[in-house]
Amino acid sequence: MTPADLAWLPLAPILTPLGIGLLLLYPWRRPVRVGLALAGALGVLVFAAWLVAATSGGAVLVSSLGGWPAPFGIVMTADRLSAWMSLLAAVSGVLAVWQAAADPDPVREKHHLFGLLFFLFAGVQLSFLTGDLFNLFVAFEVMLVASYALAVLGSTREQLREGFRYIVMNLVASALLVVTCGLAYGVLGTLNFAHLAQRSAELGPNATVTAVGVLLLIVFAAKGALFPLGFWLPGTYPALPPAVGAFFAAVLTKVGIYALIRVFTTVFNQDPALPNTLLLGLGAVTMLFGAFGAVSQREWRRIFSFTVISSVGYLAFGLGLGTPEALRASVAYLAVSVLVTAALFAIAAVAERAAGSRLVTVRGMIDFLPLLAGCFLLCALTVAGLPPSGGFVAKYALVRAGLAQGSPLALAAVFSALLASLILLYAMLGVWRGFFWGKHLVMFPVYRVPLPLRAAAYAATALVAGLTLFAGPLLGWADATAAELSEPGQYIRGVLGDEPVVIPPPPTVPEAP
Amino acid sequence: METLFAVIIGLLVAAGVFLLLSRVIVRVVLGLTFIGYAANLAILTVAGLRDVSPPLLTLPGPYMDPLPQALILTAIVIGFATTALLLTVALRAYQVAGHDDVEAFGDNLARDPGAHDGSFADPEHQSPDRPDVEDEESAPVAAGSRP
Repeated sequence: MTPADLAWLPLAPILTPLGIGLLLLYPWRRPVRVGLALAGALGVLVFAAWLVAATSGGAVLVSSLGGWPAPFGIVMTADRLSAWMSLLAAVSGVLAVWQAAADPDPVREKHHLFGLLFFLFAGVQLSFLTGDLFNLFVAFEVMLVASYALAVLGSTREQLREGFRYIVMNLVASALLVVTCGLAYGVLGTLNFAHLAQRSAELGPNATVTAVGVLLLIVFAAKGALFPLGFWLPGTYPALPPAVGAFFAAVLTKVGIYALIRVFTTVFNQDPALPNTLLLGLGAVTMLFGAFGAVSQREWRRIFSFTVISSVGYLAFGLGLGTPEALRASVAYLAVSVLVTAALFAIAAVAERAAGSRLVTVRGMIDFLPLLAGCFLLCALTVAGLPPSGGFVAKYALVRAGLAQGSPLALAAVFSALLASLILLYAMLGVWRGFFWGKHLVMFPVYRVPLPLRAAAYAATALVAGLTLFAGPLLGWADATAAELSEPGQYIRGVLGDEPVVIPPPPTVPEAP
Repeated sequence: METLFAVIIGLLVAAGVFLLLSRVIVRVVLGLTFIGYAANLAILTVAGLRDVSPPLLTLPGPYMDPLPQALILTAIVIGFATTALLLTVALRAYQVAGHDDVEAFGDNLARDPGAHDGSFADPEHQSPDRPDVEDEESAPVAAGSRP
């Protein structure tokens, strides 16, 4: 199978959820709808796994839409990083559909919860697999419009308030992204990632290009909820229905992080000093902000929303260090963060259902949910980055990379990372003490949680445990990804071919007949 | 020409931000559309405001670059969709609350607005050194997300 034979493959994870989403708009009976949704999510997972397998040799798969070759038309490209992100999103998608299927919600489902969820998947996959800056904006919008609708679906007052805040914040960021696309086109005369990279490499370090890069950093920091721009996140995610919230929390911020990695390693890598300093500083503050926020909250999903913010801070820190080891640690931590967030939100859904309350101060639930308590303990250790969890492996690699880089700001960020981990551990122990430990009071009823919903939490935790067991292959994969990212020449050649791009001269006026 | 456009873009963004900071929901929506218009004009300006032919082969060159205009068209369509969606959310908030101030959404930041002085800041959280007593006043609040 050469890359040319597999040119259709980058389109498959995008078109599958789009088609399934359209099919789900028809008012099927619930079993049919759930079956269709599960089949669709598993189909996306199969295609994403195939992408990972196809790119594992370092090939770059390119599918040009409408047959227009790379710099002139829009292309879908899949390298190791894109395929990896696509796989993580597909896994979270399967878990989200599983929870939505196990937790009937007639009102929301009547108004196309499943269909919107699949349009969201399509937008997310498109953002990971597109090879074009403006098309990335379109992908963000597809993803965000679906997420806006999901955020306000059900119209509780809390959802309206948080949804409105979320929509306004993201629309401002999107407007800035449109302007930045225009500026990038004005400066470099192209929008294709590979071609942008080629031309910015020809220009060398250039203040205008750096300015465009920093504008993109601001946009993606807003989408990825870095410190000053992430104020909308802790309110928005708990307001969502649990299954949808799990997918949002696991994947949507990571789309911003992916875009940051793509832009600053592949495209605008000529003058990394300013973006890296910004990312390091913002990352260091974001981790602490997330950790302190997690300590301050008393509701399951609010606590975990803050741990999401904290994990974004760790990723920004790893990206801002700017060394290949740090990039490798960030790619590994991406997987840890996505899976553990999905698992924590699945656990939170079960716990909220069992206690009939969003609060974690119910006490003594370990008698009723012993297996869930074990799951939570593993995920808590992963979040805090303690052995024996995959979180420890990834955070250890991050801290080592920070110490190896050794600039004063990096050392400050390392200190902040260790402190944030400690605070997160305290927050997680607070949940443990409040919910599982102690003596259960008789006046609080304990509700039965349907087995499929619990099974989703257990399956997600099994994936988190798998991170520990397969930490070696994971870091090997991350190593290869980081090596590929630090050598953008391979990506550029994969997309544009070996020949230099020739822009044809403007046509001459045809002779009058 | 570029100067004029730059001034217009600046004015549009300023008006948009001013409206965005308002407390009236509909004004927030209008502010966002203004910012969207400014973004479209910015793309047009960046592409260059030269007096050249449209890209039709029957006309003598040099030709205008059509791509920025395609970008603007895409942005207009997407902006239209998001504005429509935002307006439905605003309308729904108006139906729920009966007025279109952002207060329609309520505020979850004040945990217990009716609390009198001297009460705990966070009544449902007991300090770690207190035992599992049975005299907890605050039963957990039922999750209000689902009837």
